Amino acid sequence: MWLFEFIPQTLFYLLFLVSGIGYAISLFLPNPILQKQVKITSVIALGISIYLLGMLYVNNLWKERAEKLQQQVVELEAKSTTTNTEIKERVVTKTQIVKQRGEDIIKYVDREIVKINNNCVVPQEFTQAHNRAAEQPK
Amino acid sequence: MKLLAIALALTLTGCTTVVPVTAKFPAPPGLQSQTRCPQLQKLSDNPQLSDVAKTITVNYTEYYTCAVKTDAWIEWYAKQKIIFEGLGK
Repeated sequence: MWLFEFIPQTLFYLLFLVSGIGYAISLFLPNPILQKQVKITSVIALGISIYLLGMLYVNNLWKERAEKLQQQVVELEAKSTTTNTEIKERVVTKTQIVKQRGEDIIKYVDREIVKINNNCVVPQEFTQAHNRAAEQPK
Repeated sequence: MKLLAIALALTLTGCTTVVPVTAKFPAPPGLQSQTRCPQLQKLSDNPQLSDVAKTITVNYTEYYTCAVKTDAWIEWYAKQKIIFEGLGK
């Protein structure tokens, strides 16, 4: 809460202490009017200080939880990076294998299939069908 | 009345709790997986058998290269989801 960013926490404890002392003093005051005034002021101050201390406690609790969560986020981010590195390495290795296999087959085609090129004429319908299938859908 | 309004405003501000926790969106699994899959090659007019074999090989290679990338993204999503769901537990 913004209030705790500007006001030192000690002041809340001090307010609690002062209002408590004020209430205790009011019990021994000889003047009844003054006694009533001090008592009322002390009780109001005590109420406010208890409320503020409660808020301070909740605020600190949230802060602590947020810090824990942030720490967890840092740990999970590191885990996420490690996972990404593993996947990245796997992609590189698998891509290399696939490309190498393709290159090997093309070498085989250049070495062996070219020998039987004249034995087979590729029909135009086959070429058209292949090209239609290879075309990206619009 | 003014005092009551101020007191009420102060009380209500006590309800605002900003939790300063920030998490970065996970990075993609490498630059390679971010490239789009290329278009498949077509046969030239009156191709020879070896041209057909080569074109088909190139296209199959492209397909499997692309499949590797897609698999990587599937794995990336599944693993990042598990990591993300682990937050706060």
